[in-house]
Amino acid sequence: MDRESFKDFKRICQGNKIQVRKKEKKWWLAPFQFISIFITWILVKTPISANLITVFSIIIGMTGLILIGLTKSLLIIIGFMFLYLYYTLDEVDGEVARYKEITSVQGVFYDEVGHILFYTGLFFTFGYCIYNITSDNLFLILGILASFFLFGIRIIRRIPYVASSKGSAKKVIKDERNDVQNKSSKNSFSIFFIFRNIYTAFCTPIIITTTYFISFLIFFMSDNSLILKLIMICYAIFMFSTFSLFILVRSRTIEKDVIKVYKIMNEENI
Amino acid sequence: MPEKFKQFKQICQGAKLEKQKRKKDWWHAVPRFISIYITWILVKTTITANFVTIFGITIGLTGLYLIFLGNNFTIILGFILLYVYHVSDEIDGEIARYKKQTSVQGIYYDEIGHILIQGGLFFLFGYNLYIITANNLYIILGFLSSFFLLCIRVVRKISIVAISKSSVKKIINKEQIIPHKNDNKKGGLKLLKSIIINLINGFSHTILIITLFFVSYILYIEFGLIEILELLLKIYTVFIFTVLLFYTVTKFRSLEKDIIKIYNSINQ
Repeated sequence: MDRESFKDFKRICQGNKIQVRKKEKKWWLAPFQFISIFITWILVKTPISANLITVFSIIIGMTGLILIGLTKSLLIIIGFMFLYLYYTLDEVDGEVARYKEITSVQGVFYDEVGHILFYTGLFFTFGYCIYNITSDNLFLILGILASFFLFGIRIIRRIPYVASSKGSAKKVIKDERNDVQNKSSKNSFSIFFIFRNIYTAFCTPIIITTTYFISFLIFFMSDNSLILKLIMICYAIFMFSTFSLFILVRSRTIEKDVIKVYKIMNEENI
Repeated sequence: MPEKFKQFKQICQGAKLEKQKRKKDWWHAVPRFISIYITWILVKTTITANFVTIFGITIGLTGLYLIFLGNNFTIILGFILLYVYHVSDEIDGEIARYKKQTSVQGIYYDEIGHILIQGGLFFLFGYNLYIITANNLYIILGFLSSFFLLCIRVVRKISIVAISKSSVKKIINKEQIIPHKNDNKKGGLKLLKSIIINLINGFSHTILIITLFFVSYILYIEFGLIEILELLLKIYTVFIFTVLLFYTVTKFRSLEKDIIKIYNSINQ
């Protein structure tokens, strides 16, 4: 493998993503982006399209969830492996699209549909699995609630997009032009930033999956479901508080978010 | 006075009523018929549109909580509060348009209200049925219906998210080459299609969902007919799932057209 050409290849496929990851300190994506580039390196030499990878990854992710839902030790472990494969392929599709310059709105559509299915299925599957182990309805309900809150957070994140397409957004953008630009940015390593970063990390499917994976492994070794029950209860409370907090925080930043989205739309598209 | 009220109605509801007539959103007619009288009173006060939105969400959530309690009296009261929420959902927009207070915060609160009510509705019906019948199936059906209903909302808005992510230039250029295809369908088929879409939209709207479940709950309270409630939740789970599939396919096919529409509306 030519080292220099691989570096170029990585820059084409991941350049922008790595920058965003570094800027926003999304450390949980690092292992997947590290692996994905090697898979992409192989796949770009084949006629496989980015959209096909996206569809395949959705199937892999859903299969992983079903395997976990079946509640058998071996299947649960295989299921978790499938989930990690899904996260990796979720990076691969974008990399292939960027390299082959075949980014399309259809790709975004598949990606969104995949995330919707996956985000909602995750906690529900864990809740259902713990319900099968403990025969306690509470965990089924907690799984459902946690799924709702996770899905809700995702929908709230999309509200600025919806708002920016409506008439009222124009007024905000006009006002912004009269405002002083770029107020002083906060220190990127403040305690608040670290807290927010960890908070965000624990809301991502990757960290959720890893937390449950470790809990399941402990359960298999100790045959004690206490850790699983505890994690489910903690996560349901955590997701509820995050969802509530998110509603409050986003209501305060909505104007800034709309302007950001509007700028992205106009910079990239016009 | 009537002339003045007509003008007032035109300012508050003009665009919405036109849209209602064009898209045949008949399920909005009753809340809008009531809302304009309340708006007429409220615009004379210092109450803002955003305040009405937040008040409406609180009323809606209280309604959901009362249904969750599961007593006959609280269930009926809960349903009435949900209707009040839908009326207030019209009032806030009308006040905003009259007082020229439309804002992104307003859109935000509105969206939050819809997410919470749509997300909670079926789940609560399912939970109530589970309490009555002790059958886990209804919790799962309630969850699935709620999830599908929220998904429909998300799928409908994917084009807005896509516009900020992908290269739209390419599509807009392509649009100039491709002629419009949709107008060559036969009249009868087009009418049938529009009626089906209209019914799908109507029955997947929360007002009709609430009404159907309200009637079923009354039948259960009066005559002990739990079977109707059970059947309704089962039918609705299948129906909402089918609607979701329908929207996923339809929106996928019309994605480029939708993006151009949004792009044009933003840049108008």
